[in-house]
Amino acid sequence: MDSFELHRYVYKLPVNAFREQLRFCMDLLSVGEFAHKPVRQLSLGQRMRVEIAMALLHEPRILFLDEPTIGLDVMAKDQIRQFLRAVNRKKPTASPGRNLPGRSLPRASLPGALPDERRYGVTTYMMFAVKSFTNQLAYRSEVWLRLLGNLLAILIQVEIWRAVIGSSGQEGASLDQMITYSILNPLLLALLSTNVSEAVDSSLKSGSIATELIRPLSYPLYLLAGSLGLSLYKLAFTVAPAFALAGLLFGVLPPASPMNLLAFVAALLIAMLMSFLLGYLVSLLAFWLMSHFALSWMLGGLITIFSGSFLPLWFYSSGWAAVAEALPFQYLGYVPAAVYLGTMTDEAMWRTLAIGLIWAAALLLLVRWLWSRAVRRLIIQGG
Amino acid sequence: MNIALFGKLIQLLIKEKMAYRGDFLLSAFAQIVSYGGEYIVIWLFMKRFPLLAGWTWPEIALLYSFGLLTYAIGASFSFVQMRELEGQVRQGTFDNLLIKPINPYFYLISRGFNLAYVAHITISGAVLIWAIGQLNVQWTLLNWAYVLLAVVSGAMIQAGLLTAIGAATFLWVRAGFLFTIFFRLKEFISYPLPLFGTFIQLLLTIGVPLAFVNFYPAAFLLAHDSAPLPGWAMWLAPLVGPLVYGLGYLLWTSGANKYQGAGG
Repeated sequence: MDSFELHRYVYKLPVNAFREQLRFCMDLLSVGEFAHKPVRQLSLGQRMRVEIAMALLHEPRILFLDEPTIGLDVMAKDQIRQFLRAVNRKKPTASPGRNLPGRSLPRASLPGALPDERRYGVTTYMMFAVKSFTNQLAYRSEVWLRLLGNLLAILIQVEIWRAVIGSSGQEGASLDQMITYSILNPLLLALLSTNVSEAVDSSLKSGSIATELIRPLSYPLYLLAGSLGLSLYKLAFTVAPAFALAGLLFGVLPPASPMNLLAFVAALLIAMLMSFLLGYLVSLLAFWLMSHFALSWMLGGLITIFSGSFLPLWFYSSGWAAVAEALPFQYLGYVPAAVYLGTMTDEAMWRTLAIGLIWAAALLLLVRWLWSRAVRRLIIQGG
Repeated sequence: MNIALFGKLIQLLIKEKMAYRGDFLLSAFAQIVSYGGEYIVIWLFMKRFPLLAGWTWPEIALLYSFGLLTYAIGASFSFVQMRELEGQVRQGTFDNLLIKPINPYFYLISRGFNLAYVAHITISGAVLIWAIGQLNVQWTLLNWAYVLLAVVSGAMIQAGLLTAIGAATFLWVRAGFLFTIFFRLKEFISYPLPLFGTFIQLLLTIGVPLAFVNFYPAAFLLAHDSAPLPGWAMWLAPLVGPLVYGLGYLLWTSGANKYQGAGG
């Protein structure tokens, strides 16, 4: 049912027309009885009927069906055929695809004209963010696990700092600061881990990228919305509770000042944007390399070395610190935590954040350019 | 015979990998970069703080490499195979395995034997050899034999634990979360055990005996304090591996014997 609603937003259907068409389809296909079940609990026949209803919601001028009744029982086959006849009667100008037994039409191929120029409002993308959020709710049982995992990661780092810094804190940072740093960073990593490159990779491999591109909306923004929903979910259900628990267990310092808190939020937003852009960059490069795994591993390695996620950059030897400061990866770990703790002067802090924005903008330009190349390449390859 | 069959399978797997040589080499390189990153961060840390619980950088490198090397060997026989078991049980394709006239466990692990761990073995092996060269250890014949036994035993501990998780699939179908816990716990053994509290020490010694993979053998070789166990515990290390692996195998086969299909 949610998917139907989402579809209405995607195709900008007027509410009334949408309701009417939905009722028409639901009645004839008897979708009503299971419309409120989650998709993964539907049988093949039920799913097929829902999909046909969905495809007809925006009353397309032409609909290709490639063996729509394969694997279904006789009754379901009959029902789908009757339905298609009814659709034809209702709108004689529409020409639904053939579904004669043993006769299949060629798969719908990617049309030359990609997502049209219609501008989509923020609401549509918000719907995708909400959907990605609610999808995660199905894995509620894993919340405890992620919480535990985050706490264990924090525990390791806290114990290490306790061992080397001791209570004296002569090493340029106090133990309290390092513990706070160790609480913030694993949680940042958990929050920032995106599934963008996996998502693009699996839709490239399964070919569902074609249907995703066909939809009249911007694919990159659709991905961004999905990743935003995921991040919000993690923030609400694992990161924030883990932060509170870790604060109780190990003790956490408050932000250095209200202004640092403000700057921390800004740094967090930059980090989320940058993490999305990096994941997206990897997935775009995968259009050429055909697999994103190698690139994801490499990106992971670079983040491990240069983010300062475990070891703050102020402990790096000078050469390594200089390299890390020249790279964008520090925004994924070191910068937000350092901003929170207020270890930089105000001027240095705002300058660092401004450079972060420039990095994000540069990455954005790069992925936009790669994206236009990638789409062209996809068409040449031809599904 | 079974060994011949295993050889044949490996031959086919190598052929399969070499069909996409570029991709395989690129992935291997990327994994080396990724683990290289872990080493570099620890090295940067040790440059600043030369001692961690009394251990120096080459010693920590030895400890870490021991963990990674044994994981790579053990996991090539178990991890992906056991992780994919869940999908096979759910979709019923596991039944195909049961009707083959050979031991299903043996077939599963050899068919899925994962060559991709070559990258892990390369980097951890290289660092291990470097670390051994740096360290002031009397390399007697006994010590060499002990290292060899400890590597085999460590690999068996890792494989045994992963196999036991695979066995849980037969019970609950959904067992993927146990892998997550396993990998979290495995992070602890990258560092000397005395860093952590008594609870973690006992957990990793008795509950999930990952400490026998690298900590107890390394503590013995480097003459470090092997708390919470006394010094003779190092002789347990070569025994724990076969024990854990045997238990994992028993759990797996009894699970497979009780297997009735995921239903539907």
